[in-house]
Amino acid sequence: MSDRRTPQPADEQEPHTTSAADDATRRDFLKRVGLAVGAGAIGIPFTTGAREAAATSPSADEEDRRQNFAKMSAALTGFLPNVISPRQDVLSLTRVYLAEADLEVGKDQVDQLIGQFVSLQGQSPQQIANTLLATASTNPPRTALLARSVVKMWYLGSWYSPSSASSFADHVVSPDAYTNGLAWRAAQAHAMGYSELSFGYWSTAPPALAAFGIGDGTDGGGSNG
Amino acid sequence: MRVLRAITTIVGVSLLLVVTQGWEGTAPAAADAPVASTRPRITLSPVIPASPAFGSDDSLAARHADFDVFSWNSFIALNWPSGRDGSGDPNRQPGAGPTGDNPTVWEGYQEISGIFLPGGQVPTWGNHGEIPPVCRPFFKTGMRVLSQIGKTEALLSETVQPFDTGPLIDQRGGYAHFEILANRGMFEYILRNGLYSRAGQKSFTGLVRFPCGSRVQVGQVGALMIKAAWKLAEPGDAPGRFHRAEALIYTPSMTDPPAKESCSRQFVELVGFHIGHKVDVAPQWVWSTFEQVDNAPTVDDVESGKLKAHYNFYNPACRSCAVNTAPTRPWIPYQQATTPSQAVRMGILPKFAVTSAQARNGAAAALLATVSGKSVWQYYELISTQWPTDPGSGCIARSTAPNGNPAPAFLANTTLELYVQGSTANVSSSCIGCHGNAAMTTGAAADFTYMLQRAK
Repeated sequence: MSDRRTPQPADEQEPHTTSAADDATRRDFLKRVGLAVGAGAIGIPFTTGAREAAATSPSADEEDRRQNFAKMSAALTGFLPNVISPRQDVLSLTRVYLAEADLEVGKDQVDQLIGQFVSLQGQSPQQIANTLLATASTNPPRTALLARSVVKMWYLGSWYSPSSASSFADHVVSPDAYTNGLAWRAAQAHAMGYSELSFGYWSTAPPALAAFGIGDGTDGGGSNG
Repeated sequence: MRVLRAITTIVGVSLLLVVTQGWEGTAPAAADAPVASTRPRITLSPVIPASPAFGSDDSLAARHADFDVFSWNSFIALNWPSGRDGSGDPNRQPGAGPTGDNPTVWEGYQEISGIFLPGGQVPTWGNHGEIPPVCRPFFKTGMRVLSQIGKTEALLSETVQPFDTGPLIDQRGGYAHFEILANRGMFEYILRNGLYSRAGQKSFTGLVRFPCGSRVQVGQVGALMIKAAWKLAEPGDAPGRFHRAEALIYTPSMTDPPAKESCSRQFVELVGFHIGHKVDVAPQWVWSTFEQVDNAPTVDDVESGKLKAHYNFYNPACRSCAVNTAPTRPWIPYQQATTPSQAVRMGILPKFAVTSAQARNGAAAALLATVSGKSVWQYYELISTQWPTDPGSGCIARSTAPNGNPAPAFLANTTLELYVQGSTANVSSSCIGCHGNAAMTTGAAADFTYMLQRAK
C-alpha cells in the first residue's frame, strides 16, 4: 500500500505542536484542500496580472531573485527543487507565484522574506521552514504570515491574504495553479476535472508518495536530454 | 591520457550527432545558423532521424529549437523521393524533378484501413483495405483511397476533424479529406502482438509499448505515424505550391443526411501533415505538425490587416464570416458545400515556440529551394513540435507524469484541429494530452494512438 503521510520538509518529520502557529503547517493546508477546491469550483476569480507580469524577460538580478524564491519555496513546501522549478519549465509557476506575491503585498515585503531565507542558507530545509514560518511563535511576524501565504499558494493554487484570518482564498491564481497545486501530489491524487494519468488509472493503487516529488523522495520530475 | 579521453569524447559526440541526425552517407547541406558547434542543424538527408540531437544548452527554448530541427529533418526525410525498397533514394532529392514534386517515402506506409480489416483478418504490409465496389473501376495499384467512415466511428474519422467538431471546407466548397498511416515498425508491432483484431486485443495481456527510436542503435526508427490532410485540387489553385497525388474519394451511403454511396477519381493537394514518432527521449512521442503556407492567417494577421490575397481556408474579403466555426449541416462530402471554412490560427503558442518555428522555417525553405526553385516543399511550414519536458527514462514515462509535462502545452494544426484551438486543459488541442487518453477496444491504454480502436 502506498505511503499516504503528510509531506514534510526534507530530512525530518515536522513535530506536532498545539500552538496557534501550527495552523499554518502543511498538514493543515491539506485539511483545507476541500475549501480551495470548492472555491475554484464555485468561481473564485482567476487573476491574470501575475501571469502577465511573469511573462516578461527577467534581468540577471530578477533571475537571482526568482531562483532564491524557488529554493525558498522548496524548503517551505517540502517538495524537491526540480518539482518547484523544473529545468525546462513550461508553466513557470515560480515566476507566476513570485509575481503574484509582489502584486499582493509589494516587492519590498517579498524581498524581506527572500532575504531572510538567504540568511538561513546552510541550515536544513526543515530548520529553514520552521524559522520562516515562525512555527514556534504565537505572534508570528509579517514575513512569517507571508511565508504561510506562499505555502498555501503552492499547495492550493490560491492566494490567501497574509493579513486575513479567513479560511477562504482571495482568488485562484490561474487555471494552471489550480491543476498543479501540490496538495494533489501530496494526496497522490489529481485535481478534480483534470488528470493526465493514463486511462484506467482508477483501477490500480496510486504511485508511491516519493514518486510525486516529496522532499525525501527520489523522483518527482526530470528534464529532457 | 587526458587528451586521448577528450578526443574520444569529441569523436563520440560527433558520431552521435551523425547517427541521430541521419547525415550518414549524405553530405549535409546545413542551413541553420550555427550558434554552438554541437547545435543540430536542418539537413538534406533521406535518413529519418531516429531520435533528436541536442545542443549543449538544455534550456526550454534551446531544447525546443532542437526538437524543431528534428521535426524538419523528419519532414524532409519522409518527403524524400522513395526508392525501390520504400526508403528514401539517396540518389535523388525532394522537389528536384521538373514539377518540383515527387512521390514520397511516407506515402508508401500502411494506411490504417489496411491494418484493421473486416473480421479481424491478418493484414499484410502494403495491402490496401477493402476497395469499395463502387471504386473498383477507377482503382489502380498504389492509388490512395480517401474515405469517409460511418458515423458510429466518427472519432478521428477521415472527413471529420478530431472530436467530431466538423469538416473543413476549402474556399471553393470542397471537403478536406484525411488519412492516417503507420510505418513498418509500428505495423510490425501491431501484427506481432495481434492488436489488429478485437480478439487479439482481448487476449493481449501486456502493456502496449510501441518501439522507440534510438540514438544508440544506428538507424532504429521508432513507431511512426502520419496524419495527412488533403484538399481537392481545383482550378485556380496556385500551381507548384502543393504536393499533389491522385486519389479515389469515397463516401459511403448515409441515412442522416440521406446520401448515396459515391466514388470519384481526383487530384488532391497536401495541406496538413502530422508526424508522431516514439523516440527514446519521448515515450509520449514527439509530435511535429506542418501546414501548407497558404492555409489560413494568424489572428495577428487578421487584427493587423496584413492578409494575403488568397488562402485555402479563409476568405480575406469576408468580414461577416464566422471564424473557426463548423459549417452548417448537412455534411455531404461529395457535394459542394455552401459555407466554406473561415479558418484563423489562434495565438496559443508561447513566444519561444513561435520564434523557433519562424527561424527553422526560414532556414528550411531556403535549404529546400537550393534543390530547385520549383520545389513544392518550400511551401510548407512547421507550426510547432510538442515534446515532453519530463519524459521519464528508458523510454518509459514516469507513473506520476505519464504525459511528461509537454512543451508547448497546447498545439493545433488548422487543418486538423481548427475547432479546438485554445488553452484549456482537457478541452483544447494538445497532441500528447489527447493521445494520452487513447485506449484499445478493451479499454486498456494504447500507448498514445487511437488507431487500435479501429480493430474489428
